[in-house]
Amino acid sequence: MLERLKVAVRARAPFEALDLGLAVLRAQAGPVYRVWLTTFLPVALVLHTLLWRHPWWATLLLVWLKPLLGRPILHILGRATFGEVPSLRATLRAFPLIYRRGTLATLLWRRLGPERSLLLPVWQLEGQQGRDYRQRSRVLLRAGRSAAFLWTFFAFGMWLLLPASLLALAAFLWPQGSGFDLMEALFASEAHRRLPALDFSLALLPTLATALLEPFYVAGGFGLYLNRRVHLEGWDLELAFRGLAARATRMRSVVLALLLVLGLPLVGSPPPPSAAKSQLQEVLKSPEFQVKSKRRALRFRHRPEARQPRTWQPPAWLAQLLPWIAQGVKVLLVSVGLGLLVWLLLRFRRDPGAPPEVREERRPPEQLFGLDLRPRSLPKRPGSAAEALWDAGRFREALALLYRGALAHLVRVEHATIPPGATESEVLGIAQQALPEGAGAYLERLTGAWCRVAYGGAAPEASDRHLCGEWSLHFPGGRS
Amino acid sequence: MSPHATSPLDFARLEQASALATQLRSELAKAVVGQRSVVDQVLVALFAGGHVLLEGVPGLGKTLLVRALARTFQGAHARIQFTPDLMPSDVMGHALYDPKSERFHIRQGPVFTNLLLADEINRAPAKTQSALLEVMQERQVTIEGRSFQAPTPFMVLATQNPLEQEGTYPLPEAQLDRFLLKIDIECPAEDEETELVRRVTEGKVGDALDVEAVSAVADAEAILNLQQAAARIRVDDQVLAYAVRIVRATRTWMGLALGAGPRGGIALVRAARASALLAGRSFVTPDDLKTMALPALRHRVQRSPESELEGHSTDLLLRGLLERVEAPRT
Repeated sequence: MLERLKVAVRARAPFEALDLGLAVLRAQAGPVYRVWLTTFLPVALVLHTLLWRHPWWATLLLVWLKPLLGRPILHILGRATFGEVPSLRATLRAFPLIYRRGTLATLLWRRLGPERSLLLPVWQLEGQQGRDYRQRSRVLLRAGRSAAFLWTFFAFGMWLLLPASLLALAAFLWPQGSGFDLMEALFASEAHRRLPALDFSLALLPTLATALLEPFYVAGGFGLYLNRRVHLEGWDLELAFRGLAARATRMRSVVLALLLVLGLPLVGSPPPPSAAKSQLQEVLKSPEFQVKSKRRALRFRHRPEARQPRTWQPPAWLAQLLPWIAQGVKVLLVSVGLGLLVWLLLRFRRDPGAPPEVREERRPPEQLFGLDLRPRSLPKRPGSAAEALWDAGRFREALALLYRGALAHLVRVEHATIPPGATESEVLGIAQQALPEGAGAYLERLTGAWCRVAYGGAAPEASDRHLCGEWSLHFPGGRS
Repeated sequence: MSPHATSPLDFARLEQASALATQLRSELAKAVVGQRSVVDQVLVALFAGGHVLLEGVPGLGKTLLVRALARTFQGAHARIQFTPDLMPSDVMGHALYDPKSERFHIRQGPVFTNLLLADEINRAPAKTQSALLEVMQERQVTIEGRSFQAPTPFMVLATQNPLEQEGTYPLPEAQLDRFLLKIDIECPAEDEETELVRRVTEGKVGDALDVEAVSAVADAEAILNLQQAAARIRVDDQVLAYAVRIVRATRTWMGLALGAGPRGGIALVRAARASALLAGRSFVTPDDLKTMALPALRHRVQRSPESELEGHSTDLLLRGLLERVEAPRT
């Protein structure tokens, strides 16, 4: 089996191992991307179509599904290492085999494991699960954890960087003064000023990055995995010995020497030491031992002094107390963490999406045009209260009350955003989008009467009194 | 202010005045294609008795607008192309010695007209500019020690090209302040431009725009009456306070190095009055102020170097300001 390996087997440093994985990917880029895109793109298409109103959910789901979708890549890489590149059809046919182990685990409780790329082959290529999987991963991670973690971290960084740089490129190349501000349309804090189509394409960028980068991530992890096994199982040694054996069959003269070396413990009577020494010299002269290689490594020039083992022992009472202190600190930290979590939940329970500054801004204005819009400042039934004022001849106040009530409704119930500088016609424009047609027309009449009386100093028209009665028809729920 | 100017405008007179205003507007629309807001703002300046500074690239119908406007009230109009060698006497007029009668004759310059189009005012040196600006302010011209009143109504429409600043003499702030409004003329919309090209080219020789279609609907007297009517439009105290609030906000607004002076507030309220008249109302609403705030203030404020570097236009800054300044309490 090992002879069929198409990669040069030797013990490598982690970065070389990653390089090896990427080299395999480079050699097999065509088949890998063909299979990967065939599985990934349809899923992406379906999710983005189904969730076209919430493109970010589709993106999140796709990212979440990556461990599943990326499995065919590993299938091809694994086979290609042994010189056999499965076709697209063969890969599709192998799906039951590919997805037979750990499908759920990689999606749920093992989804966020930072060593995902290194451990995927354990599920998929070795077919381990349960206790075997745990043992196996422990062995693999003993020396591979940091490399796998860093690789995941790096891949995540690249995954963020690609959409960001595409966006930056678009922003740099966007013509200034074209009357359309790209960044504004993408990131305006008020949702209605953002363009949904742009939001959609923005959410497509991470999907694009996934389509490009996932094979790299899987391949890097595969390289790490391969290298870890080379280390653990001594593939390089085994291959070297097999090579020696093969040569030995061809070169009879060395066979005895080899047998002597390899079979020493097996042979009953060891030769005398001096004879052994000369035989050893002879063996060492054989061409197998003449291969010289250079290896460079960095070492400290001045090795730090070996640390003196700590001799201080805590006094007995302290030694008894220490576990308690440690326990206390642990309890404290956990409770602080829990408290923080509860605080965050309480703080954001109404609107989980919004950070505090935005909440501040979206709080409805309590005053507009200097009018007090707080619910308690309005009577329970503005319509009838206005009627009473009207009958008392206080027309201006009656209209003010109606207008104020309508604005309060607009801000509190319809959640309309009204800037402090909004004048009557601007409020009307906002209202006609937020309110049903009848209420919009009513507000228009009310605004007209209001302007006439407040700014024009004119006496109200007799028909204006109907505005009081109609108020509750259009703005149900009293002081909303 | 004359006594009757303070009395409220009665309904019949308002009806009459706003009907005339609407008529003027529709007459102008016969000659000027599109540019509705420009036409409105020019009319507002005319009703408010102010002068305007038009800024826009050449060929957007500024001369046409002036000719059409003059024709609507049978007024006289003149056009001066400002050049670096233009002298004040070329604008104002001068005394000419007549050897036959052995006397000096005063020859009045092109400034003695109802509507004066001062084309590319920033091409003339400061001396000539300030001579014209003096007429705008005082409405009288002094030649050889004698004062001559400018005809009424008198309105100067000065133009400026925002491009080609090479070799120009930009107007100083103090002089910009004399213009009631600064109107930005944008290129027309696509359908308007199509209509414009059709109108100019169909069955005509050359590319001159004609104002034949415009008929006279008023006379100079009627325009003066309109100006009187505009002056008597009611401005509520709250609305007045709003105007002052806007102007004061320009002085402390981030991104503006220099805010508008009191003349800014005066111009804003005058323009808002005329705008209310044009809308057929006998009182000013905050909306009038807001629509007039940009043309009335954009030449009275100066951007700070930072906002200039960031490429924020004055209009953008003012719009942000208008959104934040609280509309009036009622």
